[in-house]
Amino acid sequence: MNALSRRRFLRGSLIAATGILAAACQPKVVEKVVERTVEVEKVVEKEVQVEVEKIVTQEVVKAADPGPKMTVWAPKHFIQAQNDYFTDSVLLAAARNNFEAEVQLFPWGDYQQKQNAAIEAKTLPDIILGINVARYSTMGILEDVDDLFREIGESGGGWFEANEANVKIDGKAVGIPFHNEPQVMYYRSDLFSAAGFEAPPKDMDEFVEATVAVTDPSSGIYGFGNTFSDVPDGNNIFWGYLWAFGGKVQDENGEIVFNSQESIDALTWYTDLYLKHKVMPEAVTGWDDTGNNKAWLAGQCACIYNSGSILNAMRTDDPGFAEHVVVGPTPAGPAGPKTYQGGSTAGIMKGTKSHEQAAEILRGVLSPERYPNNLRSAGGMFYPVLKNYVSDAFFQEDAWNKQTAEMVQYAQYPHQPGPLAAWIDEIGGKWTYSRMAAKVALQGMSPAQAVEEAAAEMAEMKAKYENI
Amino acid sequence: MTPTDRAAGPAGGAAVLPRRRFRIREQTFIGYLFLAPAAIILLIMVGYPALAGVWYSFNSKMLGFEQYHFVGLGNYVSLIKDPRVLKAIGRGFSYATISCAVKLAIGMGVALLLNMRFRGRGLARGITLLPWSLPEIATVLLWTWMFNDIYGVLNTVLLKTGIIGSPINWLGTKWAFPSVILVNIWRGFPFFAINLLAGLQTIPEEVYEAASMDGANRWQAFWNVTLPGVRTVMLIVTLLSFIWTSNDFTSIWVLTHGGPAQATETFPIVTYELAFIGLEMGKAAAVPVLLMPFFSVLIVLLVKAVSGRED
Repeated sequence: MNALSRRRFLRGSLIAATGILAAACQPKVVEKVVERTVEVEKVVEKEVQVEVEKIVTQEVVKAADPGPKMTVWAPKHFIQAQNDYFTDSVLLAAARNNFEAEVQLFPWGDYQQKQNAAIEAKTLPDIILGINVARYSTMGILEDVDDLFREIGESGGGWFEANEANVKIDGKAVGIPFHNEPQVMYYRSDLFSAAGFEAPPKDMDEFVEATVAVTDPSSGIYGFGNTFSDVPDGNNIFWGYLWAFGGKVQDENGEIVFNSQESIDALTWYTDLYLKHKVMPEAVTGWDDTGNNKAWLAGQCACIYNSGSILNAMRTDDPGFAEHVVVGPTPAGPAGPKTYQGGSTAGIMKGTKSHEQAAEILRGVLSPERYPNNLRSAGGMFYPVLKNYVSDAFFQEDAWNKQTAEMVQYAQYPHQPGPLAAWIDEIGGKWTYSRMAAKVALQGMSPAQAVEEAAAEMAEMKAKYENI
Repeated sequence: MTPTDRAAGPAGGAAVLPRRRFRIREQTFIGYLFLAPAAIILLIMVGYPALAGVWYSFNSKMLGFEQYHFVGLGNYVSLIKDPRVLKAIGRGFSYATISCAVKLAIGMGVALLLNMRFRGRGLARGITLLPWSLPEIATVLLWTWMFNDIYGVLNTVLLKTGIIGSPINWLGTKWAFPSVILVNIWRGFPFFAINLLAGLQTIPEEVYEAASMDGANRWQAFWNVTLPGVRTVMLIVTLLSFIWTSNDFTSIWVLTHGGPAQATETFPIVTYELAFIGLEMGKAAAVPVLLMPFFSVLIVLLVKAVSGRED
């Protein structure tokens, strides 16, 4: 075998380098074809059937200079069809406006931390779907989108008031609402009726009676199941109970009022489900965020708290099981039934490569052409933020979607009735409620002391932002 | 003519010394020149973040906000007064101590087994390394599945074999801490085993033969020959593993997020939460700086052990 001489090696390297240089100097490819296939759920005669509908988007774009490539960050949801449809909407909006875009999806679990790291490193994308409006506004990293907010609102019949209140600071919109995701209670109507109760229960007392009646540890069935772990379901569930008992974190003037009898009553009621009434399996102390989903689908729990994601799983995997399921808000307390309003909001980040291109992306994603299908593709997990789309057959003709859509009337945002405040965003991130409940349920602390400690933590959170 | 001859030159004697000195300086300079890129990279990649961390720890720096002010020892005082942080520090050291002790014991046992002659020894050595060499996230996610109370393989096997009567809540309050330690032991023992095996192979067979001729039984040979032979390796791997284990974040975060009820919260978890959830960069930076003296002692011991082995 001939050894490679230095001369031959250098000659080869020169040829390779010239080739790479020539390739790099080639004019940019300006013809772009976007072709994707997306599965979309379609409403057919009052029954939701999953049909594979091919939506082929083919756009041939010719432009001299495609401009900067826009980057969009979004949460990755359980339902892949939604992730795909959203991605398509972004790419299509970009292609139609002669620029390039990319969508990066991140799991919810560590999405917030990912954003925080990027904020500090100043490596933010152009658009983030899933922003903390108040916190980011306080940091000064959100672009003013008031005009865009008004324009998109008009194209969709107007925003819901709660959504509008959730993005406006000093009367100006700093974010664009994308979807609502009311958190609801799922009930196994077959188990409850066998125990002589109707689901959903009318109020909290009836909820306790019914779940106790359903619970049968010998056959592995429990009336209710929700984790005390540091995960979204463990934390967010308490909002509904707090509001149902008439509690809140701040008053109209933004003063912390969490340390109240209402909060103590709500915490006592919730932790008693585990400690006193024993309607929750012992394993809830170690469940992660999917623990209740798994227990529900395994038939272990007669009631759980969740978003619409589980509905989608039931329809797809076990339609027979879904027939015995009804949904409802948090059982009514002294202040009525309530539920936590989940969802997401998009923001254009300061330092974006092009505000106008970012606006085009959001216009496209929330356009009458794309937005309704995006909601449908989420299979009952996403609900509209724009009034025109509530009347969509998808939300009106399907029994479960209709029930879930009705929950929006009981839904609240954490800051209500006070103003948007950065510190309130931390309650979710720091698992204030799940840790408070765990102290009572697992460590034997009194509800009054746990509430007092949580209120003190909230005061620290608030002071931190005031002292900047 | 040798290089020394050329350096001495025709003048000889008196002229040699200064020219030689210059030559040494030149060689030293070239040496430093070669080291410079590595030193610069170290300064940028290690020195700057470390100094920035120390600087932040004396300031009220909040993530995402440009403005901050000097608070002196304020962050440290706040940490020392916080029982949650103190508990997390204690828990972190318990986690590392228990894990390392068990890993050392298992690692030594496995190393002794793998040092014996048997068919398939090479394959066994390869398999032993698997838990340590597989991606951490993937293996820890597998453990979350195995720990599941409904369909987890651990409960299924234990129930079916009649060892337990009802499912164990592996990641619940009582069992969460032992469970995260178990995962760490499973991942970490191969590191001990392979290094100790390497140490065992440096002990000459003749020493065992001599011990045997002196009437030593297996236990006495292990105690008086094997252990002294691998003592330095044991010290090095234990110190290294202790430092890594006390700073372990991934497995605990993936398994429990530090819960339930902070039962598995160690100081890396607290640091992460302070920085990336609470946005308190200053206070978060103060946690590792607070622990720096302790880890510095460990590092000095480690360096001494390594140097002793090289000598």
